[in-house]
Amino acid sequence: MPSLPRVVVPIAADGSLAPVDIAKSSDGLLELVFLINSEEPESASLAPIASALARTESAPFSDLEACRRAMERCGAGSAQTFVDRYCRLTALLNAVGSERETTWGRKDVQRQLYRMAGVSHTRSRRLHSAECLLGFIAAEGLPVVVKPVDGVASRELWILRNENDVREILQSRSRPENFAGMFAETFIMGQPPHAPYLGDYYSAEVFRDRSGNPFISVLSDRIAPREPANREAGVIFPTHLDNTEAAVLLRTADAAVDALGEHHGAFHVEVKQGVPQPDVIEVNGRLGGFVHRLVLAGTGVDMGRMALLAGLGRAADVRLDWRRCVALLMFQPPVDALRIEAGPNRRELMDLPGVFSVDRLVSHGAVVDGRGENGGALARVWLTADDHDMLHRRVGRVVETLDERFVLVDRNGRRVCDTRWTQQISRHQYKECE
Amino acid sequence: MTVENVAALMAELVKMDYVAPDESFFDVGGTSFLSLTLISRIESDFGVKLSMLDVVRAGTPVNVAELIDAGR
Repeated sequence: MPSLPRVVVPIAADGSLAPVDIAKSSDGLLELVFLINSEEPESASLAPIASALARTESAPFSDLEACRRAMERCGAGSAQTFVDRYCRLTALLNAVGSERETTWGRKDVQRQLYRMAGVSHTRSRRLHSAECLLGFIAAEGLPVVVKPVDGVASRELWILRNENDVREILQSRSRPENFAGMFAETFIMGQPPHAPYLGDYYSAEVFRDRSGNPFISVLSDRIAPREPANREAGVIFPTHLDNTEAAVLLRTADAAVDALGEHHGAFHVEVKQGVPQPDVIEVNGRLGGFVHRLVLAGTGVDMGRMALLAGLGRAADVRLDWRRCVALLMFQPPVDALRIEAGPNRRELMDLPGVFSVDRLVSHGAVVDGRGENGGALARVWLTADDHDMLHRRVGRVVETLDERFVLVDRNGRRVCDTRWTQQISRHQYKECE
Repeated sequence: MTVENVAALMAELVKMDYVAPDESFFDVGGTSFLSLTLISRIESDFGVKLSMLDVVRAGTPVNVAELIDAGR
């Protein structure tokens, strides 16, 4: 029996596939070696988990040579990752003896490449100071998006729609060095979604084999983000778009991967139905967040395994036949909320129709972090339903329950209440807070 | 009895009143870190050493209890 390829996988606690799922998905496909960043405080808690699952090496990720030595030590022939911020490192580990440069961690450079390839018309500028940002706004007008060139999971993402938003970012970043590593780009106007509770952008998972052929291309919808900071609110499979509309977006996503010079692997591409043509928000060099669990629940297909297969340059003959619709709801608090005074218990959420998991629930007393990863969601609730209409009703019921049960206060201790988003999601007229 | 005891242990770890026999530990807030504690408690309470992958694959009190009974 031929030996399995040995692959090193840089991991973190916030990857799009958890170490336990990586271990399950790689079973019989490859020999797994986890690589942990010794410079990260979380490595101490991650190490026993990783070691319990597979061989585990540790190295400082800021030292490429040390990581290469770790890879040589364990005899791995290639690297793959599910962590955005490690895509660049992983590409460099795979690029020994190659002249090819990587663009991961350089979203400003990637934007230029999308424009050159014709899959984006979005203009952008690297920022060095407040004046630089104001100059860009003066030239392009609002709205404008400001984010780190190596940003991940909406962290430190700003959408500037009006003068107040501009004032807020300037106040929070009063010194020129606060703009280091940030860039601005014009906001992509999406076409109206199929339903008010959906966002105007889509995510494509594109898995390609060594010859660059996509063997999986699948689109998901997004639940309408909560304003004003456009915090991610969830994912829905399959998409509401018809086959023709979906095919246009999937072709754009595939062309965006080409624009970056990438060949094989798993890619997560965020895209909008723009006017007159789609426009790419960004491409990530890994499986999309939450995709593995949702697709498994909806089709039974192990997307983690498919992603690992693509990373090896191989393909699978697989079809995603949706047995049911699936959604992840990430419940975002109103933007003024600072602290949680009371909240629901996990059991009452688990008992709502269609809910099969509540894997995150922030408890009372906690401080809300609206600019953290995924906008600081207070709850993550996973649902299934027979069709999109049933799924919408179920998501609406969960949002209403969460809105009722979470008691949130602002910095002055006053109850925070903003039901606009709840109404948008549930379609119900919703009672005002007392 | 093993199923009930495993369910009670899981419920204690995820701070819930109960975990149903067919509910996955990871669906009700169980994390990788908590599964290490679960494995350790199973070893001390039942005298059976399970691997992390065993627990992850099994998931529910019913399936974990089967592994424990098989390992005794």
